[in-house]
Amino acid sequence: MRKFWLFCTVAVLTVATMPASAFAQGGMTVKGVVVDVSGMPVVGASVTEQGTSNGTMTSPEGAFSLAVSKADAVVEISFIGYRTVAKVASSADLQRVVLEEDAQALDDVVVIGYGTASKKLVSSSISSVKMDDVDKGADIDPMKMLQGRVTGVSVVSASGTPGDSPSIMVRGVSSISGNSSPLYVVDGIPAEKYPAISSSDIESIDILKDASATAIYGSRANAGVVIITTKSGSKGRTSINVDAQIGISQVANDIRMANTDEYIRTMQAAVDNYNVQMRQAKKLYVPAERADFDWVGAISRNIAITSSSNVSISGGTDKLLFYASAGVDTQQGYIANTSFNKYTGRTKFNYKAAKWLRVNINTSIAYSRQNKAEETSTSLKVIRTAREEQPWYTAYGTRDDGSYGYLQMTQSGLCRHNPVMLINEEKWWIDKLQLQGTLSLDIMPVKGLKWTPSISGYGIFDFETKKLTEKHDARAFNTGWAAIDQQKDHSFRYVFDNVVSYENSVSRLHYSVMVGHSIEKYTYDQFGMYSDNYANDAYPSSSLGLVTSGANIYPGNVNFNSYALESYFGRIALNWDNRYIVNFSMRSDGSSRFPKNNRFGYFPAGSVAWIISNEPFMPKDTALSELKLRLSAGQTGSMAGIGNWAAMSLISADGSYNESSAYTIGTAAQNLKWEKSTKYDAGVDLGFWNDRLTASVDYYYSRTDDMLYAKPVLATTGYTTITSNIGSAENQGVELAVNGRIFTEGAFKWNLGFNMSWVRSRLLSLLDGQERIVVKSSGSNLLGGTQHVLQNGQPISTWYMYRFDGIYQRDEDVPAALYAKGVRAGDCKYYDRDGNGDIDENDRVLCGKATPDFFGGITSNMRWKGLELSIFCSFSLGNKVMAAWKGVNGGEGVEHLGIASAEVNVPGFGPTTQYFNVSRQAARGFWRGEGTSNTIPRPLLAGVHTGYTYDYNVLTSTRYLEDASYFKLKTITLAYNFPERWMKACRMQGIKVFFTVDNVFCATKYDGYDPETSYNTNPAHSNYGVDFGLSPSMRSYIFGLQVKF
Amino acid sequence: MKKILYVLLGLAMVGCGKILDDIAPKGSITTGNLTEKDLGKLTNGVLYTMEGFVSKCWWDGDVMGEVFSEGPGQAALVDVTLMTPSTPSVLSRWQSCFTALLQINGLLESASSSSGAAAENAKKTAYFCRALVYYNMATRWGNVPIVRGITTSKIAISPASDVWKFIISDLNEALKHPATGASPFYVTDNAVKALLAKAYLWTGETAQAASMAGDVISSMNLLSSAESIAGTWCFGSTTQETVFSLANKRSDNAITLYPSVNDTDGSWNYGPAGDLYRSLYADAEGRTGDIRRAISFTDENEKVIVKFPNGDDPASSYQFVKNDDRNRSPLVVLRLPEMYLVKAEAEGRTAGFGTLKKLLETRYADISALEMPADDKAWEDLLLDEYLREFFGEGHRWFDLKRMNRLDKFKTLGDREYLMLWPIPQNEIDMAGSAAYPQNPGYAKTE
Repeated sequence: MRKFWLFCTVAVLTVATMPASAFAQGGMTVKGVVVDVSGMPVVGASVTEQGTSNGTMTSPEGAFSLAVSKADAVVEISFIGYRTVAKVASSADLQRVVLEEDAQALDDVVVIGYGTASKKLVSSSISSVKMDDVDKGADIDPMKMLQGRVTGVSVVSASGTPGDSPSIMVRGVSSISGNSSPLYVVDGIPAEKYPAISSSDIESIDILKDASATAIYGSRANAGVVIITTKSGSKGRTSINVDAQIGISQVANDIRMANTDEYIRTMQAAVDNYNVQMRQAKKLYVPAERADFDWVGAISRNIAITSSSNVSISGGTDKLLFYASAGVDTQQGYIANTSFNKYTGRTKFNYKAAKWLRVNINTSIAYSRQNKAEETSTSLKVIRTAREEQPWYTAYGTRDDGSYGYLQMTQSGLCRHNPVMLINEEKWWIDKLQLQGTLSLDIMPVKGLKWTPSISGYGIFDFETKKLTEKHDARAFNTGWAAIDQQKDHSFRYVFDNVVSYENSVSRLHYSVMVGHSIEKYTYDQFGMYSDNYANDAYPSSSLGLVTSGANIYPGNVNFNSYALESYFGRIALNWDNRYIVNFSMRSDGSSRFPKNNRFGYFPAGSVAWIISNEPFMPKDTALSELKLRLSAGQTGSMAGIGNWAAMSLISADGSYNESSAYTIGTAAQNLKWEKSTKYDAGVDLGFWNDRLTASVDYYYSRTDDMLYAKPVLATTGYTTITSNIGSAENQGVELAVNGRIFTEGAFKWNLGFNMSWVRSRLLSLLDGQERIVVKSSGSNLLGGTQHVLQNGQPISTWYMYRFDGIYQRDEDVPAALYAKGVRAGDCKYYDRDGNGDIDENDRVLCGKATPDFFGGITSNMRWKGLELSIFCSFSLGNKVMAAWKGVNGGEGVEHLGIASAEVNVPGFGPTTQYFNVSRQAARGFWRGEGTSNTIPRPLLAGVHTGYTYDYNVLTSTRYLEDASYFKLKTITLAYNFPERWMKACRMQGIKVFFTVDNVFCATKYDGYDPETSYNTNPAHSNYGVDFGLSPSMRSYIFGLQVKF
Repeated sequence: MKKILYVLLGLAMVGCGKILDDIAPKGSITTGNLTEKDLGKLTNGVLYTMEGFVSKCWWDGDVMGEVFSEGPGQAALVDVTLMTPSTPSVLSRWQSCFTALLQINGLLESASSSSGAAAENAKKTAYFCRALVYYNMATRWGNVPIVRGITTSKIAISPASDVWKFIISDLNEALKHPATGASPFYVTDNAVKALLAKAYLWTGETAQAASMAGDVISSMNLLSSAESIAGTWCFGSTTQETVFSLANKRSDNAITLYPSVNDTDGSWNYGPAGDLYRSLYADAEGRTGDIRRAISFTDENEKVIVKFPNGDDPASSYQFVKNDDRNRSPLVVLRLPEMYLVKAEAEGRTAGFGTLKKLLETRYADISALEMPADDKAWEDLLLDEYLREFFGEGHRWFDLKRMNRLDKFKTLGDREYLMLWPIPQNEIDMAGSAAYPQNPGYAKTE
């Protein structure tokens, strides 16, 4: 290892001492130095004789020497990020050229792994978003703002639940074992999860997409890398920014439920249909006194309030740059009592201690509280429960004991748990504290050489508390629940990096070399406990808050996880005259997840770019201002699917027998390899009319081999699955981004941007020659059951189920085998694939997929004097969503039409059967006779159809699978900037007021809350693309103010 | 100042190398670190696993034996004897058998080279538990793969006769190793003999069955009051009728039986089928005043089964005896009354009638008028009635009807006799191939 270091050091020093000689000959020779405003030499600036290919670059001292053909030749000095200077060769000004920073050009810097590069000179595929340019709308999570704004990145929100993180996918599905989410790197610290940062503190988000960009992160780069750079101070006057906004939100697209009359008519039809077919005489119980209660209204907010404010102060001198900020974001949820509040603070200091030493300190703190309700719970699921309660009852009433209180399930006649009780009698909150700190030094002993040792720590502390009162009749007395449950988990990560870089120029070759070493260790400790519940009468009062208040304490989640990585990496970047660019990088990762003798993986990558527009043979005065070709190839890896202890055969100390502790045998050591992707990318960057119109097109192909999967094994092994490297998959896609500054001169300015990504994923091979694996259903049957398949040649997330072909209109149309199972006119017709006259598992077919083919966005910014109008749209095409909330695969849901019932005890009447409510759409549209409906079947009680686990009419079929394509007008913002002269008068830099409508309009065929939803975030999971019926997305109206001092 | 540079350079070299080796879990040890001292804990682990296994299999015989109807929290029980190779519960039962065997075989392998008291107890426990798992498999599927150790290689299905031989040989092996105590929470000779008696009954070796059951009977005594018998299923209980029971005194991850038949929130799964609530414990010819009615049923609610008392919540407490800790009640696997029934069944009508009467004397107010059944069919009817009265809610019925070949007693079976052997899960056949895993007869035509 030390040899490696020695080698690297020697290599760097050898390159460093190469003479930066000038090869100029004959004619007049111009000599000089190039410095920046602060007097520091500018290394690698390009010095050319205008109109020729004659040129050189500045040395580490900023010096240059160029032989020009004649004394009146014009010498051009340019450097990325600075304004180009042109002087006559004989001018004395050339002896010392001062380059001024070009604010516009500085925006064109992109962050790459362990360094930065000019966007113009990048040879790999990187998308970059400057956060200040983003119209944030109502979102708190900056990751949501990537949607539609960058190519190749698709964002799916799990729900409208405040505080829930979206899932991000870069360039398609890269894994079938679990994690398809990218690696996040915040100011140099890597993390698998996206950390809490206020969007106002973010300078830029750079998404590394191709292997040439990502391979520097080696074993965690398969799914792309998202680099987040926070804001820094800059030299000059101290400025204070205040951003504040407040908004009100309402449900954007509601789902209407049947009213009491519609409900009674539907259930009466179900009872009648049942009685006719079963020759029975069941009666529907209808109470004499009936309300028309809005159950969903009773648990939801009519208007939810969101707010966001951030104050930052930044500035600097020659020695010190600083940035500090504090922010508060609050968001109320759709469900009453749910909310998310986030408080953030951040400081960044860069201190120039000596000419050769810079000290950087970067700290942040984020605290958040999320108040939750049981909506993802597949048993309590408050929104679904509220929808399906009988509308003729209200939430409160006189109880059995004469007291006034919540109506109770079954005992008071309610067929579901009282949702108002569910949200009021359980307090559930998660406090999260995230602390991050980085100390790094930039040591520059020799010009061009920089050594950056850095140490970073990142801690996340979670405190989760769940409290029930004794009025919570669903859980307060049931086994396995506690009056109070506390969980305190923390994770800690430290990263110790050493990066040495050197850059210099030889003639027109600008080169940079970087080598580095990194150590990273992650630990995760879970610790929790819970008390007795009210059944044991052990918890005296719901107003107490410690588990010790109970008689007994039980362990909650107690666990420990850890891994470490040790890595070596390096990169060589060569740039010949801003025309030919070559990059090569290599990373070697060693992971504690592998056996000792097999730890290291190697991830090489390379790329080339040819900037044709800088060629001397290209005419200068044409419309074409930029033309760049890029090619890259490389390998990356993933270890997300490998458990921390996969390499060990373990005996676990868990469980007990007869109050004595026990050991159980765990999974035997597995011989696993990294998932490895080989990726290729070809791209063209174009600019016209001095870059007024720019376009960028990329094609990529990637192939992932040795994909990890929980491979099904014979039960005799003692396991049902064993994680193995099994198959291969490929992704390919095209990405297009076009940006036009349509009007740049004059009072009216207009920028218009468009981007679109097309992606196609395909499984190439699975288990030992097997064609397909039907993805096992996971969790509650109400999520849809078995509905996905992994099949060769098909995309990951392919739907696999019965095809719904409409409704049988006449009894004669029903095949005999189904007729014998009770199927009649008015019931669902499924495609009989094998033609055997019956509907069984063999009839399931491929039915599209849950990931889109196309997605993208449109951004328009118009400006007239102080007025600004911004419009942002996003779209997605080609994916399908499973509307599980309608009642697929089980006896619940708003289209159950009579199947969903409960035995209740109606006070004053006695035991009877009651039925769940249905949607208005189902109540008004169900089949009532030949020709009346071909989409919604007849109402029917359970027990008529035989031969299926759940009812025949609710089989997992395309009846519930809907097109999730959409076009969204996401935000419209109208802003006004106060005139400069007013500002000068009150010594301010600017005031901007704005009004935004977020989630304005959504064009989609989907009739749920929002087509962008998924119960699970992993595309290979059984519940990916499932809409379970969680909190809806909201439409928000926001007023905001930005003040700059 | 450049000295600092060298110091930092030095620092950079530190911390490399060892970091990847130092990562280890806290809740587990590697197999290499297991010592002889750990055998006791590993034995506990097997019994812990058996608690889960036994509870998973618990209701099969009742549900499929048609003695249950659906409770308020259960979908309609329709055609309960029907199974197909794709029935999820068939696969999950198959899988839980082998999951338990992994622990058992692991214990056997760890104890094989040791010989202390802990090792002896480990071996006795392992052989007994392996036999108990295979007993459950043999009575369901008949033909199953015999897994003698931890392996990932494919093992073909063996015929039922070989499986029974394996069970009996394991039990005889268990008898060779001494037990550490007499508590029915651990494997004793009585437990082994009781299971041997049941196994011999299935294989038709009636003389051995009677002899083994007789051994157990002679060393234990019956209870005679409903209260004391009902106490068998209360927290920490080891009544004198308990031959083998799993303690189930977990502090968390509770295994509970009561929520399935007598829950407090009104959503239990099963109640007595049809008119069993009224007819099961009714007086019969020569047998009057069955004390066991109070153990199973309550007058307050005809849809609950109170055998596993649900605690002491006064609002919803349908229970006969008080249970201090309903979530930690023992899982009673073998009870003495079964030995009387096994012995009586093995001895046949003439010899067995006397054995049966000894049991019934403790179960009825009066059996003085009970006469020996006139023929073997009536004798079987009497035995089956007593099995049901004694073991209602303990998963017996389907197995008893199958063993005595009284399929006429099933209401929904019809002519589908093939259903008396469970189907080999299609999931497993798909992986192993039908040569190694032939499907049990009768199922091909239904798929």
